[in-house]
Amino acid sequence: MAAPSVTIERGKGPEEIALITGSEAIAVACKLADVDVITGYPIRPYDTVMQYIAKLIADGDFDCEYIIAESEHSQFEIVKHASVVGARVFCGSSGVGWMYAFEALTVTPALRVPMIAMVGNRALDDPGAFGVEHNDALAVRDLGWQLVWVDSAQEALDTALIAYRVAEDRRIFLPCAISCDGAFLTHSQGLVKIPSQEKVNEFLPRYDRGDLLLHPDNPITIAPQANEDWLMEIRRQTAAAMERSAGVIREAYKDFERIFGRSYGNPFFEEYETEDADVVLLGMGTLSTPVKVAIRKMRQEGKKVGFVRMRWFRPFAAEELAKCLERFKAVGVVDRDFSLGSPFHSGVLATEVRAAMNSSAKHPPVIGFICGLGGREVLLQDVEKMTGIVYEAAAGKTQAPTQWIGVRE
Amino acid sequence: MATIDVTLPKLDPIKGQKSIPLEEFFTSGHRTCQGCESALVMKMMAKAAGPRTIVLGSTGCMYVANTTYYSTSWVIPWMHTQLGSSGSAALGTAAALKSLMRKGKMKRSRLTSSRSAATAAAPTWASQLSRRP
Repeated sequence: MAAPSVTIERGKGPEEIALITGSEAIAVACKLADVDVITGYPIRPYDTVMQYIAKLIADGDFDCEYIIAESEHSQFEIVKHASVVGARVFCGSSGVGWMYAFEALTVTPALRVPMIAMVGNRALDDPGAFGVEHNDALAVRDLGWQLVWVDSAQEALDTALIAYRVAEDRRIFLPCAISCDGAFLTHSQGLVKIPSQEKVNEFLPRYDRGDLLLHPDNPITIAPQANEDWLMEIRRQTAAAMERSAGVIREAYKDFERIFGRSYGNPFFEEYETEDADVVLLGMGTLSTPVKVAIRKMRQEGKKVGFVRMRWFRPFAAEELAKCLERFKAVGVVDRDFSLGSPFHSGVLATEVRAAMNSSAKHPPVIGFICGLGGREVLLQDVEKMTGIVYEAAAGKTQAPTQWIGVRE
Repeated sequence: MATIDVTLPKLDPIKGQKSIPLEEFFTSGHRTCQGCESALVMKMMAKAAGPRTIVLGSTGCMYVANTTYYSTSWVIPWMHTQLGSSGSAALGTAAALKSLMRKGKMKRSRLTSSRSAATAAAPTWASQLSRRP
């Protein structure tokens, strides 16, 4: 297989181990999934996946129609229609590129198109930055996209395969956007076990639209215009699909573990050092690395702090998360995004966590932190500072509900 | 030369009112105004393109009036696309058919296009990228 940039070990088992970036891992997943149509439009930092896909196709390792569109809007429209005719598709973008496709992004879930997209999270213009900020992917959170954040190249590959399995399940037929932090995951390499094609074939069935296939042998009309007399019923159907998706996600992870021998535990969020924790931090994506390093340091100093890393943002596992978080004395949510004018001027994740906690009988204080925007690093001292504030809140000292960390004042 | 599994019907060009075939591929079920010339054009184009056609219709009268849920006037497969996306829609449809046929995931037939001379609001007919077998 020509895909990995550096193969460092040929395992005895059927899995090859390679040192590849998050983007390359996604490209490898597309090849293993035998994707049929891919469109690209260059924008950093997602576009490294375009290069890896192009190389796989050029080397003859991957048979796929690969089209460079003239804009992100066309890019997402092209694969939307390719999917409806029966092709397994892949797409992606970053930052304002993703925003340029917004009209297409809006209709894709409503059309029940199981597109898989990679978002290389990038700060929005203006003022813009090349580095990570989660607002691009989060912008579609109400529309029916499944949203998941990964923090390693291995998780990127595995989650891409799981995403195809879940999105293309006839009970769901909703698109899924896999978020890889710009630069910190798209461009940094990690060791990845690449599964065999046989195992992938066992895990991932053929994409079958059944009676929803657009083809002369099945002359249906897709997406007629509705009015006030039918719109709500159609929306309700799409909502029902999203409501079913948590169950399908659980099934897919169980089957993944059975076939590939890799378990992610709870699919929706990862718990790190939470068993005996007094307080926890919560966040998404690659900030998990500095957070975990800082937690190990703080644990040695006797602080009982843990970390909850959300994977699936949509569907949001509210009840499960509330049950998890109500055990702690206080929670600090680290938002690598902003939500101007939202309740308490918090970030998106903090607002959603507070909403989830509303169903719990216990109400530990939830402090929202805005940190790491535009690729600014989340430093170990930032994590320690946030933990300190959360401890203060746990001790009953009122804290500002939202605090910006690592900002010049 | 790749094998062809499904042969397209031979369609003669329609020249003159008296030679218009009777079979409708765009029929009743739309809500256009009486005498709407756009609907008349759709009716004629559908006959010229024939039954092995996929239609992509961008937003306009020919979307809203022709396909108001839960009726449709299209006898052949039709899908809505965005206002500026008819080109992308046709391209995506063609690319998918080409890829699926080449990879043996769909029965092969020839892909051709018949482009209408109508307005920008007209649908785009899928699809062609001619390809060496």
